Amino acid sequence: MSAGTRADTSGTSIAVRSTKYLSRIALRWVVLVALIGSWQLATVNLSSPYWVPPFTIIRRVAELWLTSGEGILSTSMAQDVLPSLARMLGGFLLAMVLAIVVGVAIGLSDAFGDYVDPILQFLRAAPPPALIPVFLVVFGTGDQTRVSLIAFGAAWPILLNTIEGVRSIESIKYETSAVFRIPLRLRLTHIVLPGAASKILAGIRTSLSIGLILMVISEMVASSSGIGFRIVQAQRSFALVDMWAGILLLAILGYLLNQVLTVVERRILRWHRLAGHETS
Amino acid sequence: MLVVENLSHAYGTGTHRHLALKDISFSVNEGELVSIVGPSGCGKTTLLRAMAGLMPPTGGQIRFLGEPITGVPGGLAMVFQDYRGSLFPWLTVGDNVRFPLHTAKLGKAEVAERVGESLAAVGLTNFEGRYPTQLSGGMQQRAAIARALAYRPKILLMDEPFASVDAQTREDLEDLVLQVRDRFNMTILFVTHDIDESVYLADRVVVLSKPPTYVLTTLDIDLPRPRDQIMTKELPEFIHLRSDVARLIRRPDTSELAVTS
Repeated sequence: MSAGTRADTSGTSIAVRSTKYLSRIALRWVVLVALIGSWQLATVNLSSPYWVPPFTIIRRVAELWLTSGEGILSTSMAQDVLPSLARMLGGFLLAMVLAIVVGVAIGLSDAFGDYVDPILQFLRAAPPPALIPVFLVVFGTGDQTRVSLIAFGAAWPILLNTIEGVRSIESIKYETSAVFRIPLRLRLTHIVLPGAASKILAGIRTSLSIGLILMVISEMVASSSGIGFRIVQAQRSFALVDMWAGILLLAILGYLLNQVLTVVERRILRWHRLAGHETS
Repeated sequence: MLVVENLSHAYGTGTHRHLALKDISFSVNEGELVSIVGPSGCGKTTLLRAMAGLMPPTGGQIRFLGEPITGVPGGLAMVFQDYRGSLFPWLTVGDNVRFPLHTAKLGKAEVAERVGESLAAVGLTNFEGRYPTQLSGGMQQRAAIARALAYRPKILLMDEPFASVDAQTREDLEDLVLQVRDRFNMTILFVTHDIDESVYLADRVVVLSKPPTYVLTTLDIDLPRPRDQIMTKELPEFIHLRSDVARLIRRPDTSELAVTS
């Protein structure tokens, strides 16, 4: 059916459609460009050290990322971005593995869920930044603290979504697999995980931004490298261009990570899209 | 092949005890197509779940190939009424059919052959790469039937498989069942609440009562084969048989009276 309607619309000229497409993109960006433009004008005229013109920030970001320092990687890349990314991804992966494993176990077994639910509800209620002192005492000032803080904070949305996703799988799916005597391993990989995938991915999306926030906070509090450390450092030494550059860099990083996740999600939920469901 | 002896099943205990199945005995011989028909809510699904080994009954015994059923036995496949729930939407039609074969330790070539053959038998050859949700309800149920065929079961249980498709599709699917049965020499147990369907398909019809359920009677269906949706259904024998079943289901105790009046 859908193939038929697609074939019908292919009759309209390609030129008309591409013009429409371009104008839609233009509309999206025109506001942003106008905003930056007026910001630039305002700050240049203001010439206050606290309000830095956006183009100066952008130039500084490019400098920090691409040209400063020796070797292939710029100093900022090597000292701030890569360590930050490594912590972020390390904590994030740890959160994902733990949350999905525990979430599947809880989702499948109500009894297990009943046992651990009070503990989880209590832990979940604690705001992760408030636990930084505890983590510092337990893990010291090294990366262990930062990675485990990120993992702790990022695990919750994935965990709760995994539980919900697994519980939402209809019992007839399990009955079907029981009738065909599908072994447990295959039930997990071919029924439980794909059945919960859209929920799990929604959780991962939330966790990604939480992970980024905790990465910055942990670096601001106790670190000697990373983007968060660099931002605080710049602010304390009145290098306001560097401070703004760090913030912009974080925004770009967050945007890119989200884009990567979108691509992964589209891949995994291909069947979901084809079925006409919306994947948020 | 499949023998059900004095099967009973009660849900709950004490004052909440509800006797769903009272006393059910019948058997399915190799190569037979037996249909089970009964009023809505007569515990057909409970019966089928017990036969598939999904749920232990509280009384009586079921034997499959001589062995008492304790868990899901090998060599048994099932087609559910809820095809939408029973198919895996994240697998293509081909992968759905292939999925139960993972455990059969077959070579790649044989798996591909079985999948191709089964899809061809239900007329879905060109839809192997589609996802179930891209197909109509009738086609999804065909895919579920193909999955059961590829599994090569000794017995195929069908739980009101066509209750949620439209009338025209339903007739097509009934004929499909008869076709694949001949082609693969299958033994089929077909549960339905549709009286015409039960008579049209079967060699034998087991008629169930209202709950607590027992077997009202078992009718042999001697209608000529191959059966045809129009010709078979206008035969006087067909009309008699379906009327007999209908009377039994409507008013089991007064059925004799109804015949004479």
